Amino acid sequence: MAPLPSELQRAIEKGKLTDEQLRELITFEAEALGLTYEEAVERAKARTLPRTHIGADLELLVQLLPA
Amino acid sequence: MGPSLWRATLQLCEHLNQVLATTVTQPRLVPVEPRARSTRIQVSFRQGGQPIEALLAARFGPLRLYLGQVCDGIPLSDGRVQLRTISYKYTLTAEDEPEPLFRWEYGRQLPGLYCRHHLQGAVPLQIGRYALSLNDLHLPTGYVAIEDVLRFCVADLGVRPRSEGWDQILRDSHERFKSELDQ
Repeated sequence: MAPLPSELQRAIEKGKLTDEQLRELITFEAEALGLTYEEAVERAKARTLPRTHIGADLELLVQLLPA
Repeated sequence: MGPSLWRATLQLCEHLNQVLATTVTQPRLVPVEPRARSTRIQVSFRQGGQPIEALLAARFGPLRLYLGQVCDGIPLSDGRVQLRTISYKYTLTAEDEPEPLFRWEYGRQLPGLYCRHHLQGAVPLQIGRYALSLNDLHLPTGYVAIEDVLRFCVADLGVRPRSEGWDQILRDSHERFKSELDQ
């Protein structure tokens, strides 16, 4: 997985993400799996992401998005 | 429990990180909360913002451990917030294997007819003349606490505990959060 931008890293260290930063984090994890943001969200909801720790983390992060 | 979802989760992470550091591993659980909607929060191992697995030296060789949860908060009459688990995913993966050997999962809103608390994994099974994998089934479990997984790592998989008091630390932690975390 590519290193996250330092601003996003700092926001994660503080624990509070804007909606844009949450989407950015999901996008980075999706790209690590070879997926786009939209594909990752769709597959997270269908529970068909790869069975890796990044896939597991992504599925949990998508649950933070507004319904 | 705490004055807000954020504070309650911080307390949970501080406690669990202390438990992890004195039982099986050093990596820390980190909370992530959407700033605009403080209704759900995610907790997982992270380093540099990225999700990571903890490396464990087991009797059977190196294993990778992932722990992740999503919680929301139930407002109490005294103004405090009680954490409630919405989902969890705990995985143990042998080094060099692409898929977890064991996946303990729970989803409060899991679709389908399967047990919401279940165990799956890349474990070959033989049922009569049919060969299948535990990934094909959703083996029912009760609520699996993080402490249960840590105990399994030490007691069954032979991970060397990081302190002599690991058994009591896990017992005390389990008792504390059984009363504080709505499962």
